[in-house]
Amino acid sequence: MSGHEEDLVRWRETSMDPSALPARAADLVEAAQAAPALSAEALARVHMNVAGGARASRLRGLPLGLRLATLAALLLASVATASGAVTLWRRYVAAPVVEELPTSVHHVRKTNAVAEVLTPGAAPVIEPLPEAVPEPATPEPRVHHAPARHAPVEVADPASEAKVLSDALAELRQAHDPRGALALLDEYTKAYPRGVLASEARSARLEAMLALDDRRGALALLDERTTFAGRLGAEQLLTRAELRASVGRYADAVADFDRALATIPGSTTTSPDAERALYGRAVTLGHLGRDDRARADLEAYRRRFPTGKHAAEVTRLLAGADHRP
Amino acid sequence: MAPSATRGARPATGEPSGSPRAPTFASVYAQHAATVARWAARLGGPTADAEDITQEVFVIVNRRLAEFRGDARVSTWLFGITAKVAANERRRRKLRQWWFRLVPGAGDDAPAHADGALEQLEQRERRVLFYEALDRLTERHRRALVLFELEELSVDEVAAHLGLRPGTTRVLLHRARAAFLKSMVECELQKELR
Repeated sequence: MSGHEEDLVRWRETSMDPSALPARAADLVEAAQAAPALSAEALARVHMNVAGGARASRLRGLPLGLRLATLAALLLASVATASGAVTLWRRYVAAPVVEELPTSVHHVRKTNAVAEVLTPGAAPVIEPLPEAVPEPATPEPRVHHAPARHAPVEVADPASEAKVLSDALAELRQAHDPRGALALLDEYTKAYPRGVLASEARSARLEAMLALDDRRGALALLDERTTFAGRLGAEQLLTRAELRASVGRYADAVADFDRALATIPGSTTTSPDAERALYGRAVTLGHLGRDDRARADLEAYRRRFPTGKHAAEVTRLLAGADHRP
Repeated sequence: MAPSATRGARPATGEPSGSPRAPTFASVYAQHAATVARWAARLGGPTADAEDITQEVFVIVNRRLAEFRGDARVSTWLFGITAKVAANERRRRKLRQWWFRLVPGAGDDAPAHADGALEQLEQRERRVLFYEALDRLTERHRRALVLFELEELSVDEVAAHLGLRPGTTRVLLHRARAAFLKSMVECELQKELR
């Protein structure tokens, strides 16, 4: 060690009272260093898999810039789609109603639909009929939109909305600061209570809560019927199933695992979602004491995922079941 | 103790590919696989799947080796990839940490044996405590601490792996070690309260 490093002595190289902080840290470092290394067989397996063309998951391994660009493109596509939908909704579903005033007759001219779509938010054109005589004292006709059956989403400033959300995602996924992300998501919700990216914001909130191990909060979010418009994707369904199992709601969890498995096409598929669902259902059924079904799932898992992540655990569980009286 | 692979030796050239002096995948794997696997385990912690991380690192290496121009040492390049992959793996794992607590045996990388079981258990607890404290640090502090305290590299070597100047690295290490001691005390207190 060179002279200028003398103030940086490794904890393991310090000799002092064992109750002192550096000595306690040295104890922990020593335990961490003693972790078992990968076996030669495991390294050979990795080499074989990589040489055999094993691939990282879809976006995993892509350069960060490319992943951010993909995310930005998805966000912009979402904004554009939602903006278009809202514009059409405003034009054709919540069409403006003109209150007819007794002193003058007006009508709403039907304008070219394409032009309207290209100029979202343009006020309906009101022109007097030829025979109507304009009266200076006549108040401006009040134009209002018919009450919406559902509150429309906001599209006032989609760019800044996307910016707030992408800041929150960066906080969550790059800075690894879920609390900071939640604070930004709170700001997002306050600024855009019905924003076009509300669904993405809820997904991010869920991810942040899970990162903080706030299981009950995350489960409450997923349990809300309106949160994800009642449509959970396979990932969210599996997350809810695992969360329900973790708080002892085993029957609900099994129902979610069933639903997740039903959405995965083909009974012999070997997708990661199928693996997760099958293993999760087996463990949860075990907690419910439904050993026959649990065993069937474990055997199906071993058959379909012989080298899966939980293969060793499944073998152990099946061996335990075999020795049970 | 850090092996010679982390000390900056350039990999031997194997079969030709692209440029005449470019390292081949086979030579990089042969020289650095064990080191990358150890980094994966040490950066990932007790709940990480070191084999998965190692595989993902070499999938990336296999794909991007042609882009490696030799501006940095191969070990520096590999450490950067490993650290990023391990951080992503920890994040994914953390999202499902409750599940691994629910399922008996899942994520348990060091089953206790009958011989010295108590000692092994205590060592595992210390290891878990180490990573609980480490998890509260920033990613930069984590990398610096793992290289300096676990890998036992010199400050200059840590700087080379992190792509920093030695002076900056020294400041970083001071801060990382102070932050670790603080979070270790917090974790110890929490453990006593549990």
